[in-house]
Amino acid sequence: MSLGTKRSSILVIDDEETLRDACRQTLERNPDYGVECADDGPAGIARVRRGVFDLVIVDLKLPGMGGIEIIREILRFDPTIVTLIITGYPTVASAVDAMKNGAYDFLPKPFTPDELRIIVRRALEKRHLESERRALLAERESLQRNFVSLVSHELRAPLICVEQYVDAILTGAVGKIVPEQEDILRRISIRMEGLLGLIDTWLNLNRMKTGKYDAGMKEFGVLPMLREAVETLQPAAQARGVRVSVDGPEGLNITADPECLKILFMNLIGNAVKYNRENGSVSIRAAALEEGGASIEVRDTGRGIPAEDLPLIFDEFYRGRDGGKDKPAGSGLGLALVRQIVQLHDGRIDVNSELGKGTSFSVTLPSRRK
Amino acid sequence: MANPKVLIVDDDQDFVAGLRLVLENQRYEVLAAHDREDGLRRLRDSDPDIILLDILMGKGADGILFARKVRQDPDFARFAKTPILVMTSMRQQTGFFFPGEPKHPVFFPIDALVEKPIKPAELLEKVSGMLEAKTA
Repeated sequence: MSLGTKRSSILVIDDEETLRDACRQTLERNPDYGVECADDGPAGIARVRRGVFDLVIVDLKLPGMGGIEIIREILRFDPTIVTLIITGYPTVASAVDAMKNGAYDFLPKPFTPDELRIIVRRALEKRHLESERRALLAERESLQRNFVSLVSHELRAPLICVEQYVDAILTGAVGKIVPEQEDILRRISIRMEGLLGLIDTWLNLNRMKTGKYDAGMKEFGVLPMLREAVETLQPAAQARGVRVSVDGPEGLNITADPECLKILFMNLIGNAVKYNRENGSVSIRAAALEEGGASIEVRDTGRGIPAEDLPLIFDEFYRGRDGGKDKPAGSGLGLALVRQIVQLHDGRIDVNSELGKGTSFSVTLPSRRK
Repeated sequence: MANPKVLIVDDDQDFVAGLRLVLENQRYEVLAAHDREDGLRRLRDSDPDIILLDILMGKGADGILFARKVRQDPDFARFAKTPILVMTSMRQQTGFFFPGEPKHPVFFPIDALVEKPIKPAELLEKVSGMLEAKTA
């Protein structure tokens, strides 16, 4: 296949001058290749940091910094660079070790010019395919993200207008309304809010899937975050006479995306309030994990989830069983979103439920290196 | 005192009509514009007491351009104290900073934000509060 007209830059890191020159001469016969050389690891890495290289060829046995260490350092700087190992000790172990550390392939010394050309061409093809793949992926993700935002705006705008009109009538701005009319308008308003909430949740879920949230990691206090979520849900809790308590060590911190975690706990605590019995309680307990990170449990006194439903509750559009005419309406997306957020943080979520007694969700979030 | 004048800049005419009902019922005088240029013209011609501004109008975030022009262009210096209340349903999606968040004033010079749909009571409270703060 063709590599296109773009010139490929190759860096050779080797302490033997004769080998560097041989590589350069062999490769520069191809006018599409530009070759530079360095005689040890630090010089090579410095060169990589200053330029744009497609391929780096490294001698495994160099005085000072060894080839594997050099490869690791280069890939840490730019994981898209393809690396090849040259070694005078062509043992299987050293080759496997180099590949495990990210080298694309290896070439045992002595090698012929043809062998070098073939392996270099293959390595550059891989680099080319990889960058094409990345470009396609980036394009698809950006399309998906914009699509989600666009759709959400287009869906929300008409609903918002309906809601504004209903509210205008409800406030008496267009004349007096009779109680029966008011009742119907209030029902319309409640259903509209539900629909808007569904769109928000769906949007969050999709943004989560396209990874847009991944960048916002920072360290913050667990208890203040939980209290903030509880505060927001307080009116709903009070309306049903549900008491909500938060316990845990004050200084407990976690590194995570604060926006995400707030959505996560708003959903769990919101469910615990919504599916609770009248005058029930919700207890939220946070604890530090020995190995770092935190676990947070949200326990309610609701009617519980039947055992056969437990495997389904994190699926999109699963909803709690019909609990009679006062059944609270949900979108069926909340727990799917919760699971997505937990996964994004490499955490886990466990659920225990006893019919007639209540349900407890525990979220375990590992500590993260920043 | 004459009835306070409210300029609504929003491309959704139904949305504007809904707000207008609520505001006029409380004796505000309501002017409406449906894009940025129209909004700037209305602002210059009619000297409103407060501006209610949508962000996403037309093909992009025209509301932001509107706010920047009003706050930064010397031609609009006499509106430096005219409060701007932004109304949006896209707070999270825009990726911008809003009042109460870091960096907001540099990026997007407005005074307050409400999310659509806007409860009439909240709207009226915000508007009257901002008008009071202006004259105080």
